[in-house]
Amino acid sequence: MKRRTWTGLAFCSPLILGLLAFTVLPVIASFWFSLCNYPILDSPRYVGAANYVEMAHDDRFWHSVQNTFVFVLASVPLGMIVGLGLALLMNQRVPGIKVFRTLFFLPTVVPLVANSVLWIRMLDPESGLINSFLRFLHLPEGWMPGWLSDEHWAMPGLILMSLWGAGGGAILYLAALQDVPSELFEAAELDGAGPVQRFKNVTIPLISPVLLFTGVMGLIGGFQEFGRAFVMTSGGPWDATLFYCLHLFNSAFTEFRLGYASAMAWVLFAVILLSTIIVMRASQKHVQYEQ
Amino acid sequence: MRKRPLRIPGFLALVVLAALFSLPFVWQVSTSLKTEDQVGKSEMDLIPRAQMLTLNGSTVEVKPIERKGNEQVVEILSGPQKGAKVSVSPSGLKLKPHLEWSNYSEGFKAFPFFLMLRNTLVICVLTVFGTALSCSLAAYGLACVQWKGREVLFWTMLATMMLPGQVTMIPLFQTFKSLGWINTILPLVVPAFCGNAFFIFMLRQFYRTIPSSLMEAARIDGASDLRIWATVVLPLSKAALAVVAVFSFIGAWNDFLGPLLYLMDDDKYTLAIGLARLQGQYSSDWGRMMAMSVVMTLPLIVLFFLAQRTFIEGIKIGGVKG
Amino acid sequence: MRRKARWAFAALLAVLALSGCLPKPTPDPHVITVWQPFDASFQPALDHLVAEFERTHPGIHVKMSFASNDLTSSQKLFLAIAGGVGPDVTFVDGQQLSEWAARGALADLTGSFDKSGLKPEDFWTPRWKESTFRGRVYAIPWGADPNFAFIWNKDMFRKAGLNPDKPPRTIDELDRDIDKLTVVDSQGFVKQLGMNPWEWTGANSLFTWGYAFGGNFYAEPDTTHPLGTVTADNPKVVAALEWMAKFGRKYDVRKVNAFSSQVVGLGNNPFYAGKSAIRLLHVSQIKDLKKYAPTMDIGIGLIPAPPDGEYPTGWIGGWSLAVPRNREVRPEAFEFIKWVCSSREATEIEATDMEQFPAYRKSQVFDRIRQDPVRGVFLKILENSKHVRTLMPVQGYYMDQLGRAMDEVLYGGASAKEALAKVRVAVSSRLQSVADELSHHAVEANR
Repeated sequence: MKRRTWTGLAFCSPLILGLLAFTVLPVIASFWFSLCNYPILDSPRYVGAANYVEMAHDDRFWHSVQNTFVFVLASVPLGMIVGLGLALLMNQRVPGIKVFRTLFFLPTVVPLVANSVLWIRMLDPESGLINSFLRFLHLPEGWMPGWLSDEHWAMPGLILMSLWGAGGGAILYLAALQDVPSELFEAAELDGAGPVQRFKNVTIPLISPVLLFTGVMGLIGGFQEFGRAFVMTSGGPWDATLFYCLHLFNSAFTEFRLGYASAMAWVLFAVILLSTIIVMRASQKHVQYEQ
Repeated sequence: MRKRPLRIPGFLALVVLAALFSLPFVWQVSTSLKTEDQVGKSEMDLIPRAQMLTLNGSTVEVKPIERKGNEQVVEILSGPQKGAKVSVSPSGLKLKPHLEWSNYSEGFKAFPFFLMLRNTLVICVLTVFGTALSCSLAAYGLACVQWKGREVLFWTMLATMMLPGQVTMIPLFQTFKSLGWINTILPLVVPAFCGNAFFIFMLRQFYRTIPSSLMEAARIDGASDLRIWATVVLPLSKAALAVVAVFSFIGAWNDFLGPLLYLMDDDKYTLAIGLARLQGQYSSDWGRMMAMSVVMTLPLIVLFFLAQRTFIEGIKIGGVKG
Repeated sequence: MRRKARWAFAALLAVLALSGCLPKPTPDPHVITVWQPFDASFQPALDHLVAEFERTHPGIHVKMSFASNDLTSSQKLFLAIAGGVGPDVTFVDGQQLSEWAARGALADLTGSFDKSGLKPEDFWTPRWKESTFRGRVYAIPWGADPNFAFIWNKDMFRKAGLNPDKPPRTIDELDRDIDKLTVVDSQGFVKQLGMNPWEWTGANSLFTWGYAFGGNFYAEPDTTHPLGTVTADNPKVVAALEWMAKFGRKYDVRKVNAFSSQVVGLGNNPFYAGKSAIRLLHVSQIKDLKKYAPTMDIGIGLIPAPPDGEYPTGWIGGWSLAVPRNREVRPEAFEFIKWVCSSREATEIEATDMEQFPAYRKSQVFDRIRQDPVRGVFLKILENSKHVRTLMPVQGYYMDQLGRAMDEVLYGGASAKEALAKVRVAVSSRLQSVADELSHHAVEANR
């Protein structure tokens, strides 16, 4: 047993070293900041739990919490479903599949600025591609979403946009699908399982470790969503896309309140940690590691 | 490899979705080939066009210079009168498809492209190498070795991803400063050699699907853990490792904040900073910016295209088991 | 085993590569480091500036490098200042100055300034005020952007039956013209827009119209209010916001924003596409007119104002040069600042290569600018500008709150009066806490 501990430690030593050198100190420091009044350019001054107390009375804080939960609850599961769908499509043996895979991956490599400009146009209520499609379906004009200029539709707009990046997750699913032994499918087929059953009973369990990974990462990333709103909407209209981390960023760097921002960061930390634990525990029974 | 019949609906879905997903890039390319006066038009026109004028019976390409009351001053860009400026009626100008390559030539001149490319590549290569090495080692330690404390380490590592970077930025900067690393690439690449929580977690998930019987067999043959890692685990997870390499390369290639914060000299900056500087405070040169953005995206596309061979040939645990 | 050896070799290579990059400290007393925030199009002009300085100041070398720096992305400078590795000289956006000065982020330049032979009245007054905090000098103003000029598309005026040579002078006339210039289809979509009054993002539009309406956003410090007073719900500012809200109700704020973002998404503007007839132009966008709208017949003039408002109106933005704290103010560094901000050569480069207006009002370049049909209008605005955004050490927060109040009012969540009163209360309390911190520091310092 002892020897295994040393072996484990040895393999993880770069990681442990990195955590000690670059993470422990900044993390402790940020917790200290959360108990301080810290105007960034000046030194921090201890104020106790004041920052945490203030959060409870900050309307915009609660608003950003609500926005962020909506985003996470919608974008994470949808992103996984779309990613899985793409992976299944990409797993087909058809001519030019390599080119197709590359195309699906494109949105993840195009710089955010270029992507944002395109999406602002795609989401245009009048001439954008999305509403043109809805019109093609003969939806009544009154139902047309106003997307980024409408306080009720801005968030769904950003969620839709986030699905564009599903190609990244799809690549992971694809890598996992490639490892699925074909005998398993053939065996299932012989047993008379239809495509839906094969998908449910063979494919899903086999890629479940990767599904868990993308789910947890989606959760961690979703709660920290920042870039799209920062570049495209600055949190508007009327705070409709004010994400938690955007509010945190503004507090730190435009309001010079790194103490308050740090307190927000630690609350977020607790929320993410809790959600991750719940997801990991709940999935324990369903994730199959060894085949 | 499994042979499945070509299914028409699946193929169709593939084509339609691929067209949708490639829009951002296609649009980027199209904008990069537009003339300045066409970039700002509201129609989402994927075909670049330029102003043309019919002069003495032949059509020539022109560049509108300035409007003077009811007259339009244009510069003739092709034909025998090239370079001449003439006043015409605005209604005489017509739009015709045209590719404007000058956005690319001007873009390359806008910043020291090759110097920045070299800086970027040095960081990318070291990052990819460091990440792949340290993450696969750590993932092996977390997934394939049973030891006390590995759960604690795993959760600690995972927890580091949950605290937004904005609040640890200052103390981290101080740490690098006290190490004397400011204005070097060390803050950008050394952490890569110390593992990356995202990739370690990912590899751990893949490693845990490797049948332990394979590792046990090797162990009985007297192989050390390092040897098992190198000869059993790595070859079996080539696909996942390729994903790590590609993703970490893209991350380092597009990283803007890291180089901006830790490097202090213009001649050490990377392409992402060069690209960001094409965007102005009040107005941007969009044609040029999109051109350089295409130039920056292309290597990533090629890299992905080449690397996917590994995703596919990656290997078959089934085959090993077989 | 070969595999293991290969890894080891690769690791060795990596270590070698890394050690090659270790810092080689070469402190040179004759080199001053300068950080600039400009986009790539300014690079040739900046190189020119440095070359000219080095030519006229033998023995001093300038190392200039890029550091993005605005209200939302100054982290590099923050970290450098906090870490004590800042440059000798940095550009700072004027609107950040009082905030940074209050936080002690900038070195006090008063001594150097007094000895330099420069005088406060050498600079445009609002820009000068912005560079001082509680009587001390923290920066020297470099640029002066007069905000904004009023430009209109003459062809669109003609088509709407308006006189293309007679732009609106009052808000009533503006409303009337906008009405004639705006086309809305049967679905309520805006097809063509007279003008979008909140086109300049966030609080910038409110500053512009608030000042045009004759309002003010802050009152200068007095004995009871050492950092000044927030006056966000001044009746004239309220009137300006109400006017915007009325416009929003008439054309539907959502449709107007959808219309604008359609093209603004490209960093451009519906004006250039011939879809919006009027816009407020920033001085750095003069060149864009030729670039993006070379086929357009354009008029340029002053922003309209109500009879009891301010005409001509304007507020000035612009960059200044400062020294981060932790850095002694080196004589060469101050010489560079002084030269860049006031010398004949440097202001010439500023006006010609960069197409900016110097903050140094005595610069010879203004004689030439006055003759220019477009830039001359901007000069007239500059000469008549009495304001900057605000002079508050809570500028960032104030701007953010004003921007949010605008959204709240435009989207129908509150009346202009309520929303702006809320801003006043919130910002005043934030200002008070800054005042408390400052007096806390004063007490500590005396101890």
